[in-house]
Formats: sequence, C-alpha cells, structure tokens
Amino acid sequence: MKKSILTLCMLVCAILAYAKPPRLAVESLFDGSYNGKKGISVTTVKSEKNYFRSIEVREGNPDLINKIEKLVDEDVKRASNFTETHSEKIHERVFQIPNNGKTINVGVTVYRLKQRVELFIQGYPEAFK
Amino acid sequence: MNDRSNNTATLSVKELEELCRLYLDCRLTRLQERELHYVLLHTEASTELIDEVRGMMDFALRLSEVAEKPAAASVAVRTRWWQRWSVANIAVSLLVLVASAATLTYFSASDSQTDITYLVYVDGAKVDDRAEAEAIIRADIDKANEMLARAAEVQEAQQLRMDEMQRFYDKYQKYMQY
Repeated sequence: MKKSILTLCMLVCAILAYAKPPRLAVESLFDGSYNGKKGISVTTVKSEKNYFRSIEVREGNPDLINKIEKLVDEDVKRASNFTETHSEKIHERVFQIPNNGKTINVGVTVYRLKQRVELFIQGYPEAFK
Repeated sequence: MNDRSNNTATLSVKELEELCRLYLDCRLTRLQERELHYVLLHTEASTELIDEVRGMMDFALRLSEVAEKPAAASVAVRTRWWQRWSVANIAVSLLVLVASAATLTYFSASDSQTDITYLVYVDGAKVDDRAEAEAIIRADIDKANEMLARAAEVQEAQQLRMDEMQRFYDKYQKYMQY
C-alpha cells in the first residue's frame, strides 16, 4: 500500500509540474511587491495579443539591481537567441525564450554610472501559459 | 427408501439393520446414506447395530460441520482483508486526486484573479489618469522595441562578419591547395 501511495504521489507531482507554466525568474519582479516603492517604476499592460511588463529601478537600489541581474542570468540559460553588448556606460542583454509555440522577448539594460536598470518582458499571452 | 411419503414405520428392525450393514460396507449412495440417517433419527428402533450406525452418522455430521467452519472463516478473513486493503487504497488514491485537482484549480484561479488590463506606477506612485498611463505605456513599449531593434542590428552585423570570415577562410583553403 505504501508503494501504491508513493507511486500515486509521484504521478501527481509530475502532473502538477507539467501543468504549471514554466515561469521566468524575472517574472517574480512583477508579483506586486515592487509596486508603490520609491525609485521604482512598474508598467504592466495586457491585451489579447500583447502582454508587456517593464520595470525601471533608479539609483538607491543597488541590492535590487544585483538581484535583477541574477534573475536575468537564470533566464538566459533558457534563451534560444541571445545578444549582449558592452560599453563603458551600458551593459545590454536581449534574448528570446520559446514557450508554448510562441516567443517571449526579454531585454535588460544596466546603466553602470547611473546605477539604473531597465527591464522588459514581452510576448503573446499564450507564451506565458 | 427414496420414497419419502412412505413412513419409517414401514421399515422393520431387520430392514433397518440390513441398511445399516450396507452403510458400514459403504454400499449406499450419498443420498441413501442421508435418507438412512433421517430414518434413524426419527425411529425408535434400537439395536446395537442401529445405535452404532446412528452414532457414527451423528459424529460424521458433526465432523463435517466443524470442517466447514474454519474453511469458511479463513475464506471470509481473506476476503475481508482484501476488501479492507482495496477500499483503503482506493480511498487514498481518490483523496490524492481530489487534492491535486483542487490545487490545480486554485493555481489557475489565482492566475486569473490577478489578470488586469494595465497598471502603471511611476517612482512608487500609481498613475490613475488613463491618458497619462497610456502615454507612459507607449513610451515603455517604444523603448523596448528600440532595444529589440538594436539587438537585431547587432545580430545582423555579427552575421555579416561571420559570412565575411567564412569567405576569407574558403579563399585561404583554395590558396593552400595550390
């Protein structure tokens, strides 16, 4: 009986894992916890064909800027298309993640001197399911 | 003897003793043995032979009743144990399935509950004015498109460079062959 329960639990866990959409790490920035925070601007717009979210972090949030860069590092591993440019003032990364037959575009720009970060996620709503 | 309408009174003691001898010699069928037992139970005839056979038949009947009981009990125990295990297993499986279905429903419901058309915060302050919000959204989307366009340019430039390097390599290979 224990074996049956264990097997069933594993099956249920597998189903749950498959059923839940594979969320990007950067999507955690848009869970509402940064809305209304000083020095942070958040934009979210969702229509039938476009789901766009962006966050801009201004000076005075070095920890959050570091956190955003780490989250991007996690999602880059899943990218099918990746472009990175470095300059004295800017570090920019743009990449695409395929999911559910659609493409998710992610872009992040880090302004080194101004300690500012801009990040956006964009795609069809179905891409995030 | 098979005619039940004929009373036991018609069988004499000698006939009963003859039947008892046939019983002891195992010359009666099962049905005849049962009928003889019935007759002996309802007759007052009593001789040493008749009493002995009557006693043997009673003992054999009691033996068969005792032998059936443990078998029936063990079969019942096996069935009950199997039934208990099967019902418990099915109950647990159903519980897990219901819990997982409820969890999936909760997750999907949670996702749908947080769905909104637009939401804009600038430097921590919520923008309620629709026109202002739309302008900010448009600006952010334009910025994102510019970033994508820059990335596309970089990739195109990179591809041209790689094509040039490939051409140079092919030329070099041809030169080395001579």
